[in-house]
Amino acid sequence: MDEDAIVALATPPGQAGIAVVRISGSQSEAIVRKIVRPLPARVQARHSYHGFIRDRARRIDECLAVVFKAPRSYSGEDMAEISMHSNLFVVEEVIRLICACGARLALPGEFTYRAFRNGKLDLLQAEAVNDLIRANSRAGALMQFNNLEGRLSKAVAQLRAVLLQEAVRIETRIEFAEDQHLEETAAGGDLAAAAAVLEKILAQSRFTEILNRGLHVVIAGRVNVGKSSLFNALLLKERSIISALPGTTRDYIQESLVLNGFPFHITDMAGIRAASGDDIENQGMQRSLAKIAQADAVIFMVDASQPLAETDREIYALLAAKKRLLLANKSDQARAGIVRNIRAAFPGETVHLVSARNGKNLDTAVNFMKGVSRQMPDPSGQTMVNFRQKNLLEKLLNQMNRIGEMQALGLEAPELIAEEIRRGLDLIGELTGTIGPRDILQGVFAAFCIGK
Amino acid sequence: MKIIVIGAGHAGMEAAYAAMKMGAETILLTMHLETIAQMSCNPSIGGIAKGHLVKEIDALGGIMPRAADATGIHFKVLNRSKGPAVRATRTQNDKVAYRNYLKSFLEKAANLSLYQAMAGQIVVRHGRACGVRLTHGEVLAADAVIVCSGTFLGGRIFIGSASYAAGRANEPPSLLLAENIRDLGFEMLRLKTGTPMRLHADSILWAKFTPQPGDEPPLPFSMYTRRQVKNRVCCYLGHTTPEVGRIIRENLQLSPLYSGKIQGIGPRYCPSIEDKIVKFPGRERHHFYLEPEGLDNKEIYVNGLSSSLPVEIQKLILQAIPGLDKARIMRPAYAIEYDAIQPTQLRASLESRQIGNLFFAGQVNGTSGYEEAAGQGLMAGINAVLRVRGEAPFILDREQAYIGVMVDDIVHGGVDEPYRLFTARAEYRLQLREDNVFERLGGHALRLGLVSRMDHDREMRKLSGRRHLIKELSKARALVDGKSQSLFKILQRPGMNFAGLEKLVGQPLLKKKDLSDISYIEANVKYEGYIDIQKREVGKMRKMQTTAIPADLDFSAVSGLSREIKQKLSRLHPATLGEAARVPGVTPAAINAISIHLTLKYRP
Repeated sequence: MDEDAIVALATPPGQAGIAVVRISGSQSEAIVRKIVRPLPARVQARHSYHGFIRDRARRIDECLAVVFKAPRSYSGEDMAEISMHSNLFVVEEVIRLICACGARLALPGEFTYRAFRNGKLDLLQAEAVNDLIRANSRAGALMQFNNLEGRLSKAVAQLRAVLLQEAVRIETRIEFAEDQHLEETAAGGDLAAAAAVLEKILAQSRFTEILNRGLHVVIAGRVNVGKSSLFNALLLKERSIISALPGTTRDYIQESLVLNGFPFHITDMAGIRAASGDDIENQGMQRSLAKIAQADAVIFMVDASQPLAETDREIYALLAAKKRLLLANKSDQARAGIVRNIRAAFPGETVHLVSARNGKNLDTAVNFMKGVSRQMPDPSGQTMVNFRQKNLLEKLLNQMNRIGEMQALGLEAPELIAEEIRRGLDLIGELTGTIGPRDILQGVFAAFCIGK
Repeated sequence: MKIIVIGAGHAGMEAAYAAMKMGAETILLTMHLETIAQMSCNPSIGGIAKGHLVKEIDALGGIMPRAADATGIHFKVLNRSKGPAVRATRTQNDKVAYRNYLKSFLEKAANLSLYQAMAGQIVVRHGRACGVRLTHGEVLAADAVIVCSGTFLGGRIFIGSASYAAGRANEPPSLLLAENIRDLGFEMLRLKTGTPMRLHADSILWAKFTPQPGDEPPLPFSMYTRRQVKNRVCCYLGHTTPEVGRIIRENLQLSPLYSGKIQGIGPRYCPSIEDKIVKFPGRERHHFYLEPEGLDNKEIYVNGLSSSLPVEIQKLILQAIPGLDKARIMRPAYAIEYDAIQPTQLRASLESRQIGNLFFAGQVNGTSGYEEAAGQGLMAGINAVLRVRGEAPFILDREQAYIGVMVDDIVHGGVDEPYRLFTARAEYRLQLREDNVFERLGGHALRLGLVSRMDHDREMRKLSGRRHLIKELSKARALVDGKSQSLFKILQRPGMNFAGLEKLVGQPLLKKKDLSDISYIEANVKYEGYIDIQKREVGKMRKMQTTAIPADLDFSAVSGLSREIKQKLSRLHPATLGEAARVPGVTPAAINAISIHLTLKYRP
């Protein structure tokens, strides 16, 4: 008996140039033959064929069809892909047609699930596929690609080999207590080196978190210095209301953009004003201050056309430990004396004159943000870990350290060390899905977006 | 109820004795009454994992431990300095005394008949074993038959280029029975084992070797042993020389192992000296032990020099070892090939899956070792009686006993080399200790009628005393490093032991105690956290173990399984995921695939 044929849209739904519908299961080619014409009597695997999708006599769309033969396919089963125009109604009709030919809609992650089951991917690689689809930055995608290539799997396999070697050494000492030559030959696994590798992977996982959440940049400044103008200029679209009245942006607004392959979340903060009876604004300000505290970098803006206020200095004081950029806005209305005063008020800082409204000198802000991203490590060669993996790797590191400590004590309790090693091996099994209980697998696969 | 046991070795005797105790009229067949309970190889009982087995046999009322104590001439607890879970008892025994003790023990037993005759055929009617036809023509009727034929089925001895049919040195093999079992449809294995030469004690220069005395005081195996056991001999440690390696390498083609004459698979953990030389070319010397075979007996067993090389070469080897250069061989070393059944054809009760009321135990199941044989014999004897009575079989779980680990391993995993028990085979090693066999098995032994109420109650009182003391340890406190801590916590400290604790308190905590009491207390205190975790694991494992694989499941339809695994599983058709997981070559990933398949296909 064969697996059911499953079908799903592999590309994002909606108006786009091309939509790709995927089918997996031994019926894949037969289904394609029923709906795509003309096709030669024998199609070559992994060659694309031009044709038309038909519902009996009616042409639905023009398409390219590719057939894959097991095991040389993503899922390891026979597969087919139909590339067609991405119109939601047409795509829906085609999928309905494919289902009428005997396929069923794929469950979330079912293609990858099958790839895993058919030995095409191990669990770490399968998760990498999911994370790759979800990766919101080029760096993240690059790192996930490393996972897909098995970098994490390889590192974990090495850890496993070390633990096994150590287990073998200890078990031998237990079972063959009388064989005196054991002490001479017993080279154990290098646990310390293995733990160091693990620590390195975990250290990278902090970087991973940043990639996943993006870099946070806050635009801070007194009311009405032009923060929203900068925000909009950076995003190149009208989003927050720009107004000449102070305090229009009552709370903060956040938008994301990608620079240098990194996701940036830019926050346009509510203006900070020294004293205001406006409660709502005060609440907004509280949140704004919290945002500054969390930010990876801050763009601090002052007004080059107005004398510095006490509030400017107060805000600046909050930024002491932050990566920051000082902008003096409204360069078109700037007065030389004021600019001089500003420079004098913030000794040691470079103050850049810009005009958010005219777009003058805005590259300073863009370059500043790029600079922040450049301080992150190079993603190629890094290994990305997700939350589940990180959690298990941390446990594994604890376990390795524990084993190291027990060995350092030098007590004759090899059976307990052996016990700890077994637990370490279990953790690795859980990590790679080779022993993991079913519920873990189900959890992992349920996190997949449909079609992959 | 009549039960026939074929073969009076270590498996057969336990089977017969247990069946007899449970009320069966038992016939124990042997080819040769003089060699029942023969120790065919080393003069020793127990060792790591094996000692654990012997203690379990004791808790289940078996006879091996009593015989080992009664005829023990050297007692030692191995791994004494390591933790309680891996401490194990071993005795050196007087071989002649051992078999005489057991012969007279069984002769005294009512309802048990020792009968010298050779079994030729198992009588099967309607798919059930119902008797045994002897080679002299007589037919004995029985309700169940237990085969404990050791190395006798199709046995063949090899020494150099010479080879001849034999079940053991100078004893005929069992050829008819081997053929009969094959004809009954059993898949057979060809296995190999070997034994070293025996030397004359007076021809050895003992001063050249390092004495290996027994423990003082020596400790017995059995709860039935009341008298103080004694060390009466010493063993000696020696080493081969580089010259031995040279001789063996030069004459390797004369070894039937290397010339291809021996087809059977030998045990990797018990290699012949030629195997050791070939596999570890970098080692200049290999150690061996000189073990006396008895008190009124000059034969010395050379543990570590088993071989199938021609006798002339064996002599050359000895001449190259200082202290053995003048040694006279009394019995040459030899290798033996024999038939075993693939034990996956058995249920966990050791009953054949294909023929009802037919049981197999011991070396015929592809295991090695006296203790492994005895453990299976005991289980087969018990289960044969339960089967005839129509009661549920007595099956020990992996977390209950090493016997359970062993039986489960062989019947679900099968064997591809002679199977030996190791503590590493147990997932729950910390719980399977020599010191707690009564706690683990005592209740079963009483229920099955294997031990008397009196013996059970005495052991129970001992156990209560130990448990009480552990409770007391949590209450009493002492000062350590200026801090007041419970004695329990103090004992948990790394490096602390029971003796250290008594010293700290300044008085004995237990008036009458032996190593077993101390081990029990130390284990329950020091392993506390580990055992809790293991118990939780057992719970999880049970769930996995018991996930049923439907009888109609088509393994070839499960995607993600290699063809080899599909074939294996289709042939064995394990009843649960747990059983499937123990089939050799079946990977955890394969178990996941089956598990996923079951969820998808058999979702209610």
